[in-house]
Amino acid sequence: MQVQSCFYYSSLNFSKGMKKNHPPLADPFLYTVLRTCSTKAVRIMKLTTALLIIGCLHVSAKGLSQEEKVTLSLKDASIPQFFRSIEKKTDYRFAYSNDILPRDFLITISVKDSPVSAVLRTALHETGLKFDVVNNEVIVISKEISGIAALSVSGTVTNETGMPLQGVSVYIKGESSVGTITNEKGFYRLEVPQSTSVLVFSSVDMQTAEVPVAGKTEINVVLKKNISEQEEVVIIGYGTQKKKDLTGSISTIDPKTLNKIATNDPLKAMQGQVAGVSVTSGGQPGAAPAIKIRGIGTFSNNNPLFIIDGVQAPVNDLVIADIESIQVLKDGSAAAIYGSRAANGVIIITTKRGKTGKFRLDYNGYYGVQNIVKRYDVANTQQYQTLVNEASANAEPAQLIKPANDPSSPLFVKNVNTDWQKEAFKTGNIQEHTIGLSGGTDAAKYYVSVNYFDHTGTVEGKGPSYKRYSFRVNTDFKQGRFKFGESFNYAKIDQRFMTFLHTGNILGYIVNAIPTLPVYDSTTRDGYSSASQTIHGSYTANPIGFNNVLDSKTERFRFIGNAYGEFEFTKWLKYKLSLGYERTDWRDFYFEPIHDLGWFYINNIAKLNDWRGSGNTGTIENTLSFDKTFGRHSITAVAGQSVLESNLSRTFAHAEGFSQPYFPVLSNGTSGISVTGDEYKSRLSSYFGRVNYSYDDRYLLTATIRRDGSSRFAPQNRWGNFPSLALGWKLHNEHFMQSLLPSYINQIKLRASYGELGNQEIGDYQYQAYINSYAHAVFGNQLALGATQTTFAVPDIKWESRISKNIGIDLEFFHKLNFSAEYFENTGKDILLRVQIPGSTGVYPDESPIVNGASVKNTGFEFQLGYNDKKGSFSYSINANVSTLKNEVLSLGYGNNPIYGYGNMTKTEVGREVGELYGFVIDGIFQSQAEIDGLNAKSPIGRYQEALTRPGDYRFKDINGRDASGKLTGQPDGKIDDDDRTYLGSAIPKLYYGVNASVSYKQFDLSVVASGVSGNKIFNAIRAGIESGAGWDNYSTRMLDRWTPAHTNTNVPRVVMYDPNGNGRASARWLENGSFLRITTLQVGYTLPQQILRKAHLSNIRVYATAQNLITITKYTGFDPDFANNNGLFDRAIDNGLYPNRPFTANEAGGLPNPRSFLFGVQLGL
Amino acid sequence: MRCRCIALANSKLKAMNIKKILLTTAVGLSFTSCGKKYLELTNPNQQTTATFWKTENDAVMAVNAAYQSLYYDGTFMRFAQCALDFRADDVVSPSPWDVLANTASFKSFNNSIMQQWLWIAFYGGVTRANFVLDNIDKVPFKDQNLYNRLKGEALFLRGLDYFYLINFFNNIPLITKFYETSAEYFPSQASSQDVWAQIYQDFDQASQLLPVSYGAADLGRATKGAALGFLGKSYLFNQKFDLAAAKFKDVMNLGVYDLVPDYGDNFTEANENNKESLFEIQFSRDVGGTTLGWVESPGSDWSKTTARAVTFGPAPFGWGDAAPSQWIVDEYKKEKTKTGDDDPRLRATIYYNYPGCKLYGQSFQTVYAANLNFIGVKKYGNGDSGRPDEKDWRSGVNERLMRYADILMMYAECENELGNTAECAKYIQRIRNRANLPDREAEFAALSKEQMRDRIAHERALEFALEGHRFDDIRRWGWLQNPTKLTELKTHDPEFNNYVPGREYFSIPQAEIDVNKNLKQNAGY
Repeated sequence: MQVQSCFYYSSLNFSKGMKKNHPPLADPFLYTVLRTCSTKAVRIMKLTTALLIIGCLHVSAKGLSQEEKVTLSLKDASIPQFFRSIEKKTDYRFAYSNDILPRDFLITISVKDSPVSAVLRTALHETGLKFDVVNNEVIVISKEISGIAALSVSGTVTNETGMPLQGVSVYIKGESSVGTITNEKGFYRLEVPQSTSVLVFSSVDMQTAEVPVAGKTEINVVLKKNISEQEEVVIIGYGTQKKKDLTGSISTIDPKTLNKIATNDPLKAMQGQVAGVSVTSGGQPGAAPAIKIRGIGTFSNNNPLFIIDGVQAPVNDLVIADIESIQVLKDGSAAAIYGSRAANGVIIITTKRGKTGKFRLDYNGYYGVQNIVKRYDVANTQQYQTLVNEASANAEPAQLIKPANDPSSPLFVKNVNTDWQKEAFKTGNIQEHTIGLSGGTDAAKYYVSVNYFDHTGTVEGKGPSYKRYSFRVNTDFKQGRFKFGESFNYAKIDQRFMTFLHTGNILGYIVNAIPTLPVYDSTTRDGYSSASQTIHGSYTANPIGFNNVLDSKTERFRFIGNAYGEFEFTKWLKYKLSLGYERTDWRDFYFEPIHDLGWFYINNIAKLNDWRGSGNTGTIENTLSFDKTFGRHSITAVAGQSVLESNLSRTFAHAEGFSQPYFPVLSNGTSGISVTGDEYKSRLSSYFGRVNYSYDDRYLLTATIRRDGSSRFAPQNRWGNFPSLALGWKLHNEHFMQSLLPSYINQIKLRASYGELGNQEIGDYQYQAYINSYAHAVFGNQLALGATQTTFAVPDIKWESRISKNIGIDLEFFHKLNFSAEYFENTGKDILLRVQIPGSTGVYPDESPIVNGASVKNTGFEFQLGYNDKKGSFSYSINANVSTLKNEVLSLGYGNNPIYGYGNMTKTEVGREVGELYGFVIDGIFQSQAEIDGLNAKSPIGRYQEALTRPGDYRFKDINGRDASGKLTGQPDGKIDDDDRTYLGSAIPKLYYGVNASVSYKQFDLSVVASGVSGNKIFNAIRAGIESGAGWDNYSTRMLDRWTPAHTNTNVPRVVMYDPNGNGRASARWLENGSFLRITTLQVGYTLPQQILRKAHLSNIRVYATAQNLITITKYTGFDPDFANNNGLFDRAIDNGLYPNRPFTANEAGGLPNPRSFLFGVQLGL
Repeated sequence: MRCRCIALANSKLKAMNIKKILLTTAVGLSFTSCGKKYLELTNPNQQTTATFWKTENDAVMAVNAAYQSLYYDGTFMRFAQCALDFRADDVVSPSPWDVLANTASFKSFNNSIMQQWLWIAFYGGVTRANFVLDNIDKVPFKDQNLYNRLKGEALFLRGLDYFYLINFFNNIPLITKFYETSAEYFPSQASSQDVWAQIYQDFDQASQLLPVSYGAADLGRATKGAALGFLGKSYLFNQKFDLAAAKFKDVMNLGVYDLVPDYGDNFTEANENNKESLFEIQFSRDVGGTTLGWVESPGSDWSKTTARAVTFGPAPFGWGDAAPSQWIVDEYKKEKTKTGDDDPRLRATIYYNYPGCKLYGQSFQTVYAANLNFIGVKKYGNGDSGRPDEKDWRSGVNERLMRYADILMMYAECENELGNTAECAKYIQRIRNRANLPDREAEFAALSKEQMRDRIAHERALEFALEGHRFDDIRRWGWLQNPTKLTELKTHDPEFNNYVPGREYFSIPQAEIDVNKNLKQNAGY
């Protein structure tokens, strides 16, 4: 289909409205035509195609059939110039093929107030061109067919539902210069030579049809929608836009790709699919991934705004099979319509709706097994005992050897050798079943679905697991000009958590549990063995015991609903009222029975937490939308007003003293009973408007403004304005490009945008200083109520804003290959953050005041490539994306103090990246006391490193010192202290990439999804735990290569209790290359042939097998280089097994690595 | 203005019925947004500062909150006792937790949470006291006595917080007003003289404002005696012996204090706030919630208990993060009572193998059969209370920050320094008498000043073992700079082998230096 490449619709600088103000002059011809025709070098058409009429042709017809008149004076004008002159002065537009124009033909003409047809007739007299006026508006230029008897063929072109199609070009096959286009009734009439055999009907949106003439004079044609070439429409906020008219940066995700990945959370399935979007996540059931669009741009919540069917709602319990489309609004222009909430980007998700047509039933289900594949290599019993005893002996003073490790003790452990990772990790299961029903008429359509999702984790014990039951009803009704509908989704989720002490890192404890302890011990109270303080000395908390004895779960009910009514005043003006409501009710249950899991882990009183809460967000939106084309001007506009209110109410009940047998409900508690609670409300009042203007399908403009008022700020700072502007230029539609552009280039679009977005993601009421009224004391053994100010508020906090700039180019080749490249620069200003203030204020670090302190810039390139093709029964497609990210902190508020993260391992400082890894540089291992003494002698304090530094300890590099005034000199000062820390690596990948490829041959299909990152470092905190060389917990086998006086040729330091030299301090030792490439999905499918299906009365059956996380190519030695930890901002690079996006108030411990899964599934259609 | 778009829509839509219906709904639903009040939301959970400081009760609550700062992990829920005791030679820390073990052996890294939590929690008390002192005059008081008392309590608590801060860190910022602007968040360190001068002044003013005693409902609030005692102690710590002695004398002259007959009554939940007590932190298992006070603003369910007992308590009843040194046991055993028994203070302080020794309802000989040489911390534990162990973390035993015995001993020390050896000997013997130790007053009265110092050191070690005074004594007596004494300390407690000059004070928390460029690190780190 190389149809569209060589024709275009001519038009230029033309303004319809203005022209009408010039009344025509009186006199007709002043001049006649002077024609200069140099050669009549007849252009031989090689073209096999005909006129292309672009979609925007279908303009409403003028009321007057009266022909317009024109006054014109041209000298030596080319034919296109001549046409343009007429276009400028009239409402007519010309449609023609360049190739039929005699190129060297020049026109000189001077007419006054003459009918256009007369002017044309005169001017084109000798060109062999003829013209037809279609719809009183478009003048179609075609080539005269001479000498052959003509046949008049006419007919109507309609679509599959019988609607007339306007603007379809109709031409003779092989002689494309003879043609016309259909009018608004789909009607055409064409004079063709008798010899004509085939007519071609072609339109951008439709599949081209070829119809043999065979002497017929009436040919009616039904065109089918062109699937591959159909105009892709993208959902933008409060409206839609054709993808090729986009000016902002919006990525869409193919729901088919999402459906290949077994997960409860659509974000997880987006991993690696969109340039500029990073998704990191763990593998535990119910995991909520961390998502960042175009980098870390703020220091509070970096989550984008999620809009599900027009409702601001959480995304993590949404059924993937229900999703119709996902669009990621990445730049300021695209997101600006969401103003104050859009700084981190917007993800718009729409769910499936019924379509006119017959009833459809679809079942989609899969079942699979999962396993954690990777292991840390830890010491066995004998190795452990050697190491721990050596560490005890190395301590000063030497530590007593614990009886369990002392061969001379009766308590010496010899016959136990527990592999805790093997014991703790088990095979998990995952299954999901969805039934979707849909169908309807033009008047009423429905989509109904039910979903069951069940995921049990890969760890021995009660948790984690995730179960979801979901029900959805989406309907649409239409009556005349009135439309209304709704989408309701209700889901119930039962989630269990791994349980551990407080909310500890269970993974770390599984890895460093001592091998000298069996898992089970029937002599203990709960049947699980436990480390003894006096016998083992180890902190080992039997993780399997904990995960079986404690009980932590949450149950939540989630409703996401939207109801809308739309009224169409005219074809171009609609009013819509949309009501959205999201509500989540939850109950977190945590029961800790009386247990004895060893020294640190004894609980003498049974405790229950019963925490309940409810959160909801309601929105009311009124929008007026306008959509009209005036000649070459196409305007889509929306104006709206909305209010949003969010509420949160929580109750925390606690009771203790339950007796056995346990009935863990609050009423059975006998002591320690307390109930606390709180509530929050916030509101947002907004006005917004957007204009999408397109001129002649060449120049595009999008202007947006939103004004938001938020209850979260003080009155003087409450309102913020968020404007944006974007421009697009479709170069391929420029006339002058026609001759320059090779035919295989179908699209060149340049676009640029600028926008300002806001962020208000701080807690409620933060601008007001408040009194903490819980600071009670005790006098006379009675509570004495206390109240004081424990935090400081910054009353003048205001919106955080983000300036977003984006330029991009979209290219299309051969109608098969799409390529986009973009560059963005986002600068966050007045970023709201907790600037840690000195503890001398008495304010705890996590409660420092929120100020508009920081500024961060993110820049990056994004490339997206798509290719698909079909050869016979073989079809294939590939989509790839690559993006880069550069992050720079511009300011940090309050004197730009750096922010230190996890264990002082990360530092965020002005001029550098967020969360850069930071620490000491290792300079080798001390081989002798003389070497240490030598350095000590040179030190100004008589000590180079630590007081108990000994041979076998790390020597850290002295890189900095201070002068007399306390300023850093950048020069060694003979001693190691915190000034000698330096930057060790980036936490943020430089490069993100993803590939999604699929091939199908006849009934078989195969697809591969892969993604990866590179250029970042990870702090392997779990490894640090087993390689610090100190303590009574288990050691890594790497410690077998430790320094000893007899084994000095090593880079592993000695083992010694309490690590007096700080060999385990934050240093480059723990950092590893975080780059990885992962085949996240490999799927093979087989679709049953039609014959079989017909017999079974089914429309479709596909069976498939999937392998997830089959291969990961990485140098990282931890469980999984793709992890998301607690905050993901300052500590993004810290892999400590902790969990991101903790749900609600849940009491749960740690996260799990992404497992390897094998799934089998069926898709069935009725 | 803000409703313009609706008004606009309204005029355009007038014509049609259906539109009207729609619009009425829409406008109706959105109408609330047009009111100016729509975005005016006040915190339903907490009172704003703007409405505080209106009533006498506000002042009472703000003062109570200043006491509450003593219940934090960084204050006397746990770390303050660890910081005070662990570094001394009567305590060793076999803790597997490096934060505690390193504290005991002078190996703390600059970024340890030990220093950080102490720093924030004690400064939190300063801030709360300043909040009272800066605002109390806004409240119209009807009861002048109440005003005086509250102001006195705030001054006393500020003095107390600074007293601990300067003894922990030596070089500290001195903040005496509540914060108004963010510029005030970043103070420099004050000279230690200035800080001490402020401490004297706060305790002195407090002593003039505070009552001598309280009714039952207010038992535990700061008293005149407490302010005088701490003022005297502050003078003593700066070798102002005459001033100190005068204040101790003032305490004695109040006539309300005396030694309790049973030494052990000072460390149990029974017999709290007895006549020997000048100031103690009021812990209780009976009131408050069960959530421990960690590192954040207090919650309504916070417990009013201390984790000292579980931290110091011997395994398997507590964590055993602290253990008595063998030296202190030996020191007790140097002298027998008049009846030839072990010093009763030893048995009140330490679990060790003696006939009939019981702990947590069990026989010592049974529990520690494998190691009968075991010694464990008893003082401030609940081993005699009938509870099976300390492992719910919650102990209700009040922490006695100052006992009358200390007043007497400090007075004795001042008298020795002032040359009144006989007076000194009298008071030392008075303390010994309660322990039923032989009367050696005459012998002591004949000692030289120097010899008497050693006698005082010995007697203080026994009277106050594991009460958090020993390391302060070691430091202020200059033993760490005295090679002979340092060697002696190393024989008492090998943890002193790691002592580095300067480390008699903690490092300024690295996290604090990281956010406040105006601070300088202490020597020795």
